[in-house]
Amino acid sequence: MLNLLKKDILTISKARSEVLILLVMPFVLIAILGLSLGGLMTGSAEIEPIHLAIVDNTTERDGGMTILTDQGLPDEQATAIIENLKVNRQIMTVIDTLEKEQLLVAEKMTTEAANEALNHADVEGVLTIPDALTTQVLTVMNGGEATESLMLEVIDETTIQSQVLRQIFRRFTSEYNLMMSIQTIKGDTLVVPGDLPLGETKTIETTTEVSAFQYFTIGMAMMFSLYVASSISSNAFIEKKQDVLLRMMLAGEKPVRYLLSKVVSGYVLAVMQLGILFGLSQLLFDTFSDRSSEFWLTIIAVTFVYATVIGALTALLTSLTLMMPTDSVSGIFSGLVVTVFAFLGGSFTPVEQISPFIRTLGNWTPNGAMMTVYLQQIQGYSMTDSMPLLMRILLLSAILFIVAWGLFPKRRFS
Amino acid sequence: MLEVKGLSKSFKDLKAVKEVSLELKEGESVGLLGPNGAGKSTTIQMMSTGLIPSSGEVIYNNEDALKNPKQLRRDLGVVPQDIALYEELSAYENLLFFGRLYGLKGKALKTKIDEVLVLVGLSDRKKDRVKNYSGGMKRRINIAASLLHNPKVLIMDEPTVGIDPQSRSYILDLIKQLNKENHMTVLYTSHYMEEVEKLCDRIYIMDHGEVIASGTKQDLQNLMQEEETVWIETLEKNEAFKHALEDDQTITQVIESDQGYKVIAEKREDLLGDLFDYAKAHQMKPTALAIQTPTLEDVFLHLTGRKLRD
Repeated sequence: MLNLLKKDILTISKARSEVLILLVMPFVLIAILGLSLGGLMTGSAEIEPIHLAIVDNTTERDGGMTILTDQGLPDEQATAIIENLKVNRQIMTVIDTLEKEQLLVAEKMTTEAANEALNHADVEGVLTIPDALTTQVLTVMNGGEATESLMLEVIDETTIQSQVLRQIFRRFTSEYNLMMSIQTIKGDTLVVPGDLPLGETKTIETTTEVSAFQYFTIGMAMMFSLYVASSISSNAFIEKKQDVLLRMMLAGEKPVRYLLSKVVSGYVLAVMQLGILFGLSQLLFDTFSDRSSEFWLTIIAVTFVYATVIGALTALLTSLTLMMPTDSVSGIFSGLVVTVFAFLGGSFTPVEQISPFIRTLGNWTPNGAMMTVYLQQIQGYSMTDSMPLLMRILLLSAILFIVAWGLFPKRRFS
Repeated sequence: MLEVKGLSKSFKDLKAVKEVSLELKEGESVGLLGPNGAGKSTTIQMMSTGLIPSSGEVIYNNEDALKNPKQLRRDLGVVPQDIALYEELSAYENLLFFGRLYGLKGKALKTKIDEVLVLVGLSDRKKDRVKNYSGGMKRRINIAASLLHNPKVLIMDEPTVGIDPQSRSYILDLIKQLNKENHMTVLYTSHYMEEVEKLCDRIYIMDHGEVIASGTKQDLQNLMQEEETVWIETLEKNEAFKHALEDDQTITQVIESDQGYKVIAEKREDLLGDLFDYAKAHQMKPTALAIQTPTLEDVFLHLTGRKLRD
């Protein structure tokens, strides 16, 4: 097995055209796309205003006035505090500002209308302000617990619009929380506020935006890793055509070992390729600066999972190639399938900007699913959040290998 | 030692090999001669257990090699018609790979590699990539890769196709050495009759998937004992002269070449005189006229009515 693996790695690494496709081309594309589209990804380019539906369920009038008067505050002072605290009014002030800056288009809607608009992608998000939010703020400030909270629902957590909305929302809630904390201490109240009832979203919290270099390093790496499979299967065709396979068979090589060697070769070459691309990108463009060792360990683990599906894909293409009289399988895969997969997977552009459907479809391609996982990890998602996609990839790998073994022309080796 | 009986192979509607039977005795060198597409490669692929026949038997040392191919494969060296090597790797890396496939390792492998490199005369170029070799060198290293495991039987499929005369001569001498000095049994397929004539003790002639004749060179030449080959050298060509020869009932073949005409005709006393008369009648002036010993090419022509390289 080691002999076969070494041979595959040597033949590919020594072939100039293969090195060009597997390493040079993706790296050149990372540089070109990263430099030319950097502005778009970092927000310096113009972006379309974000459409937001506001569902304001506020009906309370006094905003929990009794909580304050029960503590012995005079009516006038209590009214002044309540006026300061009114959450819905403060939110609308922030939104007005954003609208004036043409960053946001907000529209007040009922819950039903807002949900419908979100489902039809007429709006990028829905902000729901529950009733008696001001009262709940006061309750928490006095050591009680909130029963409801402000809620932001976004159409897709990976879109740029969603990320912007989340950032705005997070900034507002943290500033509001901080302001209330300071106010509580200043008011000589002994209660230290816990979590104020602000800041709940239905999407996953992220900490970091994705830069253009990060995006295209992942995008190109995911795309060009697919070429590992076609390169190895193309070599398998040459082995068949030039009777090298005959020599192996006469030397007593077992079919399962031959196919497994292709899986391992695909796996190892994919790991090497991704390692080199990520490493070079970091070295030359400082793509993943200031990342913790935990982040890098996660990226290595994710890379091992992606290499598994590349290995399985290599096995499938090898089986199909050995069945055919020509090398059309590798040709079609590298010429057509990789391009389609790369587009659906979002290697060239964030496809969710085109259509959420394409994003969903892309997540069913190996490169697309893994691209989402890598981006999630860059944004600070937990591994648990990425687990469904990782499991999907491992399952897909198993299916691809079983199909490959079923199709493998074992009689050739018998 | 190695025998095939009634071997046939069909690819869909095409019958590539039809009921072929042939035998290799220990230590002999056997030629399989035939034009391109005669079914030689398919036959030897089946003989080497690399292709499953539609019907027939392959027997090695009295055992059915199709049912139990292990022993034959262990004793067999196959030199495919294509260069069955990795062109991006060096000769040495290729030999390391194929040697390991046969279970060789360590010092034994390296010693064997050095040995076969000396044998094929490529020791000084062993670190060069195969893709940078000349056609002849590629052919030689292709042979070397099949000798690593000390095979008892060597099957070679047109190992001299497309190479220069020096390399061809080197390879033919090498095969002769392997057969005569190393006592290797050789099956040599070719469509070059002069190679088969030089190398082989016995010859099988194949055409259209069938063995049409077999025996020693003398046996095959005897097939033409009723006929004579006459070479007429001329300075010019004359279609009417050629037609006159073809119309003669005793002349079976007329082959035109750059320097003249080759005529195969029934043996008779007045043949040369008649040929002079035809030339005179058509204002032809032959510069030479000679009776030749029939070659295998002539035998093939006699048997099929076609030239080997048609």
